[in-house]
Amino acid sequence: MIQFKLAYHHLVKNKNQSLPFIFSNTIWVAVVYIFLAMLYDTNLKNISFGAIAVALMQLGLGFVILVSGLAIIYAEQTLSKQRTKELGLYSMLGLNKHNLRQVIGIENLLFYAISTGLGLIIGITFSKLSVMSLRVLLNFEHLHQTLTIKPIAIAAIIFAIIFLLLTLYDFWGLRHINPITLWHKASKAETVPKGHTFLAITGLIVLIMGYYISISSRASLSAFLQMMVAIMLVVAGTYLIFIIGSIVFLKLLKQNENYYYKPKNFIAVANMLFRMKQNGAGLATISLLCTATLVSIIASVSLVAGQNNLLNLWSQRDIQIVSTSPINLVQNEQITQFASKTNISLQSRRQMTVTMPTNGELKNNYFKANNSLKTEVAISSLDLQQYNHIEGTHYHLADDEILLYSPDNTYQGKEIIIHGHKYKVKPVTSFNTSFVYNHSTYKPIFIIAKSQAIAQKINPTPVLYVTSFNTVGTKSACKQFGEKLPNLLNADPASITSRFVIKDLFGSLFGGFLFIGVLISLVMICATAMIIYYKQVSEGYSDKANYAIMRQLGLSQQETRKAINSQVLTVFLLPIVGAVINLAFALPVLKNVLSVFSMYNINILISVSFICIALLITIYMLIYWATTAVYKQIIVS
Amino acid sequence: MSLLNLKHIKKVFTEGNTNQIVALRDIDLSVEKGEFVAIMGESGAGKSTLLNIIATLDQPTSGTITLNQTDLSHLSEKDSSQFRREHLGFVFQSFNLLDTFNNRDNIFLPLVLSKAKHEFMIERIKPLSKALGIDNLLDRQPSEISGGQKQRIAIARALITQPDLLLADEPTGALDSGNSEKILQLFNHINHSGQTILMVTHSAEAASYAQRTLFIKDGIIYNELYRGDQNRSHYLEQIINSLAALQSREVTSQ
Ligand SMILES: Nc1ncnc2c1ncn2[C@@H]1O[C@H](COP(=O)(O)OP(=O)(O)OP(=O)(O)O)[C@@H](O)[C@H]1O
Ligand SMILES: [Mg+2]
Repeated sequence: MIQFKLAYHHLVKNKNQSLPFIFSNTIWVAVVYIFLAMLYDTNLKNISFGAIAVALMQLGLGFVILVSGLAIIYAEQTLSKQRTKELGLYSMLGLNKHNLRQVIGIENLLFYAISTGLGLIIGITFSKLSVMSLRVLLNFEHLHQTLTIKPIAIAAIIFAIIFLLLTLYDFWGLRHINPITLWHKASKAETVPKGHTFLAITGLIVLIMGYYISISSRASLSAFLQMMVAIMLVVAGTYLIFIIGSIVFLKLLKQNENYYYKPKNFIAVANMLFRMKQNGAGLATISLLCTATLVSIIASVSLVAGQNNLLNLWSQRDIQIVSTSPINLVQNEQITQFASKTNISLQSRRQMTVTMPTNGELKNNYFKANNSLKTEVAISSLDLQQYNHIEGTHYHLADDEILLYSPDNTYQGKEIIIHGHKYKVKPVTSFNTSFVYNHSTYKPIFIIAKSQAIAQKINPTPVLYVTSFNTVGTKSACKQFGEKLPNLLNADPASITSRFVIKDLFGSLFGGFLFIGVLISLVMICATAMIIYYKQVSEGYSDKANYAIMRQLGLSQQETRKAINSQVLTVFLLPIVGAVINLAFALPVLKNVLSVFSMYNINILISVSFICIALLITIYMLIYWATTAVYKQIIVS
Repeated sequence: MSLLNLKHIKKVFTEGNTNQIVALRDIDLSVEKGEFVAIMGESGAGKSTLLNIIATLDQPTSGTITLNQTDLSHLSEKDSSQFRREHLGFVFQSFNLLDTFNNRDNIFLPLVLSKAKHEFMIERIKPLSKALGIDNLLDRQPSEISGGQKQRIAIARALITQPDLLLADEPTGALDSGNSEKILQLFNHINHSGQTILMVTHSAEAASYAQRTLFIKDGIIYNELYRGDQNRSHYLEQIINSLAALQSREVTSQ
């Protein structure tokens, strides 16, 4: 069949363009497959907090499908420029519209088959290898992976749909064909999109809407749909802004004659303007991939880094028992006996009575008790004598003065109003026996008043008895002691907190998140590198002829290198800037998620973010440096 | 002292380890300032090779070449780039305009590479665009104009630096006879205003516009025809006769 021959011939003849295109498609197929494999081929659902992990993976999957669809459609435009020229030739030679469609269809089918086949092989290999090595590296044995047909089939179908859309789009481009216009289209510069001010404003609005939805929605599983919509809006907005923004930016550079008519800028700006939409779309893709890398790594590292925070919040002592009645003599005896039986000794035992926490919210130093979506804190109170005894301090208080302990010093007010009474606040930074009643997610606040009577007035609730001690012995003995204690005392497990037990629990819980986070960011950073590589290679081949002509006109190799550097550097930082802006709006969402786990710590989040951004910039520069070398190689050779 | 001097220029291409192609055997040539010289010869005779060597795009295997007393045979890559920019202008058969620039910027390109001021570029393009009749083409893209118009843009690009020597490799090869004639009259015109031109061509018609025509064969300058005072049609007849003689020689030698 002649159509098949033509399609095949074109694919092979233009291998400088078709190979990079296949290459980038392969990466997208692999990335989508890796997400699908994590969802369908692992026991992710069954590990603790698996439902959240699954939801996050689904968001990630939606994101990569969206970005890969857009990126593929944009990448194909470069390719189809060349193809259009040849189709023009074929139609001059007598092929009709129907034949041309067949040629396009067959060629896209070839692209699809090759990319999907290769992509799946790479995806399977990568996910197997990475799950295996991460299990060892992170010492996380809970995740298992099998190999089933389902994710393979789904990935194949997803890309079949993308390529089908692509083919329809190509057919659309053929609608009023005329050999001459087809032939000329190939050497035409891209034009500024019609109504670009309108598009820019639309992009901005879409982006802001996306940001708004993501910031305003509370982190919970029910917000899944909202988050998906937010992601779609941000992706669409980022593409629009980058495409229009970069065009406006380049036009401004061009209008500045003193800048434009310099050897290196002249060539760089003209090259970028020539393929301005494609250029903007490429930058947007890179920016979104960088965003995804940042969000996934920051989220997972923050969770892990925050786990000590949560541990200290729950209990700073090795064992802490909270009960509504005091520990009686019999129980006391049981504890001592069990301790000696498990070969540990109990030390620095502390006992205190505090009022049972009242949940509510704090606004303008005013405490309002409630149990609603707005509830943030849980206030309980005790008298000064107990506090001084436990902490070994010598505070004195007047009737209307209190000491206030809030973990991480979140309460900054100079006074506090409770039940219509105003108290002067002296913040304290240490409270050894602080605890979280029933391990709720509300932030505990402890108020220390001059006397028991005032403490009761501040928080008129029944008292709780808090007994705590440290255990000295081998790690496993201490853990065993903590595990068995609730049974021994016949108590609710939530009322007895053992640091050794909790630490282990957190390890497996958040290890899973770290695992997924590292895997996703690994996938994303690889995809970023590959897409940058693809961009440079495909641009390299399309610029090669131009540079050859300019060399004849007297552009030296050194000047060629300078022009290339300028071309790369002018827009090099834009994707990172975009990614950081996107991140700034993703952080509040992250904060919400972390707050749900009571793991939000502003210092940790900020420092983790800074480290991750610095790391990403370093890797990004390395990628650019390496791929620019490839670009130069293509131009100069 | 002539503008361009070639002495014993030899160019051998080595393909693989053994296969040697002698493109130019022994070329001696000098061109005076203000001359319009045409180079003819069969396909594969080495015309483009000769032009590339003069253009410093390629280096001779042996022999010396000087332009304006500058020795071109051993320039470094950087120096030859600069030399091309400052002293030579090129017109190619396939125009070689850059799609990425509009026509005006295509013409400015050599000046931009020489780091000229923008005001200076504007000053230079004015008389040129008037003489070439391209005023209304400047703001369009190369893909939007005809072949003859493209070639005029390419000529403007070659002339904007006011080069010592204009090199043209089959400048009318891609044009119909009407457009070819216009381009050649243009060459004639700029030659009369002092521009030295070296033009490779396949067409006797085109060569008849020159003051001297060289015939290359077997890697040497085989024959040379001066126009002198003859009118163009006489000269054309002479050229055609020489070409015929050249070909009949080939037939008898085979
Ligand atoms: N880079 C090269 N490597 C090897 N051989 C070459 C190279 N360039 C030219 N040649 C050979 O040198 C000879 C002269 O080539 P050249 O291009 O100068 O011919 P020409 O006279 O310009 O022909 P035409 O009229 O077809 O353009 C030919 O035999 C050609 O094959
Ligand atoms: Mg030639």
